[in-house]
Amino acid sequence: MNSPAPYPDRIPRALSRRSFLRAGAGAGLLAAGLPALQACSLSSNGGNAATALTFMNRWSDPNSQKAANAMFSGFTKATGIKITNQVQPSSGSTYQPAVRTAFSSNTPPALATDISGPEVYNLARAGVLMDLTSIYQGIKSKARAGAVAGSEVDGKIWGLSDGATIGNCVFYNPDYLAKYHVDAAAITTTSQWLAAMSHIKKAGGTPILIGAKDQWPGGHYLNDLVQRRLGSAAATQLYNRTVLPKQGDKIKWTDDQVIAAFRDYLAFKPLFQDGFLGEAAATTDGQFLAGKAGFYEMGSWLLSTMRQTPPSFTPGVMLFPTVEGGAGHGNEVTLGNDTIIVSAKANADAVRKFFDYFTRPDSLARWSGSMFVSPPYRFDASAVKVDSPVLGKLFGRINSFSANAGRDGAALFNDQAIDVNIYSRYIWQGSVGLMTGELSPERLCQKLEEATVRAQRKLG
Amino acid sequence: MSLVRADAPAPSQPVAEKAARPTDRKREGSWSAYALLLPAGVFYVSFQLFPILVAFALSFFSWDGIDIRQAKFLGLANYVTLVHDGLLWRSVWHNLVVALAVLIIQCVGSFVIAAIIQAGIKGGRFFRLVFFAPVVISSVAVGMLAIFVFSPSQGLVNEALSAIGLGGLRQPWLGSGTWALPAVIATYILQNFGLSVLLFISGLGQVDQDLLEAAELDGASQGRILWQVVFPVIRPVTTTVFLLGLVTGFKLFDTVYVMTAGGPFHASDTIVTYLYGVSFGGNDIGYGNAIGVLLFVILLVIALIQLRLTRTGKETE
Repeated sequence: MNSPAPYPDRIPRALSRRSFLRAGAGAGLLAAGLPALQACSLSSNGGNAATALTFMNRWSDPNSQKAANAMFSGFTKATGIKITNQVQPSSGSTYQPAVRTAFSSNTPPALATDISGPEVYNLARAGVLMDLTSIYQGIKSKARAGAVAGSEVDGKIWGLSDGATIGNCVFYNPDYLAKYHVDAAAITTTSQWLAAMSHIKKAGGTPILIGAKDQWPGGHYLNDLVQRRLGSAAATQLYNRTVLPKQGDKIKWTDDQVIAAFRDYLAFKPLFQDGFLGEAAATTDGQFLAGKAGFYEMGSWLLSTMRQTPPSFTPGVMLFPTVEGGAGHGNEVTLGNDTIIVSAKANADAVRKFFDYFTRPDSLARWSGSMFVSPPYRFDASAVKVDSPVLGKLFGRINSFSANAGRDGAALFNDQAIDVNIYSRYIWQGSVGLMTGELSPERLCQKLEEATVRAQRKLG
Repeated sequence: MSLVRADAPAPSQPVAEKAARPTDRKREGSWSAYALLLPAGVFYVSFQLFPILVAFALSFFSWDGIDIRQAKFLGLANYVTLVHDGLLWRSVWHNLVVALAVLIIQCVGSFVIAAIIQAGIKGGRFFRLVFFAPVVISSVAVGMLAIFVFSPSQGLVNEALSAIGLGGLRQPWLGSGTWALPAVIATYILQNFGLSVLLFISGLGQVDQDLLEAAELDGASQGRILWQVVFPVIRPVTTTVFLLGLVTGFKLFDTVYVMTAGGPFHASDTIVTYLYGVSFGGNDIGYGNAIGVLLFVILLVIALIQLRLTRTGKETE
């Protein structure tokens, strides 16, 4: 007699142990193999193929994207090598971590823009970057000072500039200032500037705007004031202590001049707009361009914002005024050097062709005019076309700042020159702490010095 | 001692063979169950368990996140730093404030709103939609909107205060050490309020109307009905709402990051924004992982409390 099956036919074909092991081994191989396959395919697509390069960048605003796409397509037309544009959001607080993550992965982009300085040094030390020394030798005759600023480690070149911006600019609204009988052109010192702004404030106006909520705008003032107090060479020396070994302690954060610079920043507090601590920089950009204040300290990249949101007046621009008794002179500029780094896995020949194309005078003229940057290579500046006469005039004036800065008249921005852990924690956040009163200049400088000593110890 | 009853008939050989078959089938069935679980298992191990273990291991190292070969073993140094890190404990405190606000405002408030809607007020469906709408909006979008709402110069809050003659109360909300955290909490709670309301509505729907009527007939006060009839029924929902709020409150990141990035000067930092700043702003992956382990322990404790509460609830039932 056939007894009924102990289990109904819900599982018609149960797996045998062997089938299970076979399936398991297959799934395991697949799980392990898929990422490897993906890595290989991406690597060949982005890194090693001579006919394609991936380019990670933060040129995300419409004008920058347009300029980048024009440059990439021009390169492809000239060489046959395609560029995959890996554009990322422009925020420094997310872009730089994204670059680090990308270059520590198995599938890094062939090229990427990054801020020069410690970010490049760290990646170079980690061995993930291509040594560009020989490529640089090939284009050295075209290069100007700044082409490799913040990209040299142990005598080797690890990045080549794609353009510098000037960070210590003060934009002003001549129409607004005229209402209060202030002439920006007559201002050369911070005392004069503060006096003029106090006059505007007393008369019921808004002398100056800052988007302090975003932290970095406060870092600008600490940068500018330290550079004016110490001079570019000494400021660079101070910053280098946080990232390079054996820098000594000739200049310390706790020196009187540095503390004085931080104290100078407090003098601006009553002059900033009401509620400045809660305002975002994007909002204050808009407010300044809408004619709501007399002055605005911002980098030359504000020109890109002006192209998207034309100002309601014809702005003027000057460099951050000198500080009486400071070693820095009024012509010294702060450079924000954007550099192109290359993955160690990238195809060297394709990369060489890219830099050859990028540093061609006609490429540079187009690039400079559309991105509002000054590429540190030889090209005919008169060939630079800027679509707006107002912006063209401002861009010309900003370019003259770097031309007049003199041989040693430039320092890298503090948030490019200082160790990332130190500037994000003590310069960016610290600038807010000074304004809220939670930190005194002395205490902040003490903390910076302690962090620098720890960094020096770590660097050996 | 034999477990087989003495009076049980001795099985014949074929019967014994048949009896063995279900065991084999059972085993074969379990193999297929394992095979079906395998893909999920591989993903779980690869993307959950393995990263947790790696994070735990990295918390004993100093590493800048680029080349793992350059990581330096520090022993317990990161944990010693953690214990003495005032800014971290300030962030933990902020999370506790968020949790308290969630408990008081979100749990109590959403229960009251749910009770009103459930009582059958006119337009109940509309209000249900109104309260739930922010839940489906991305928290980044909500945070961006909140920046405009709290903007000192052109924000809705300051303008509203001025409009009603309270201009003296205008604040730089997101830039004030006192007000930044409350502004973030208000935004966070407003966004998540609807989910709690919805959960309470579903819980209140389970309360037996006959039971309520019987209690009323017996002369029980409204407070007593609420305490002794309604709450026992909605206890699982209340526990869920509370613990969900607590856990998500401790993991709070996106709203804070978008609105204040933890500022001004860490006044609104939470554990996760601080962890992010240390790991990706400051490049200190080892210490960031030590903070991650601390967060893991906190969440583990909350999960254990949840288990305990759920079990107690079941035992009471």
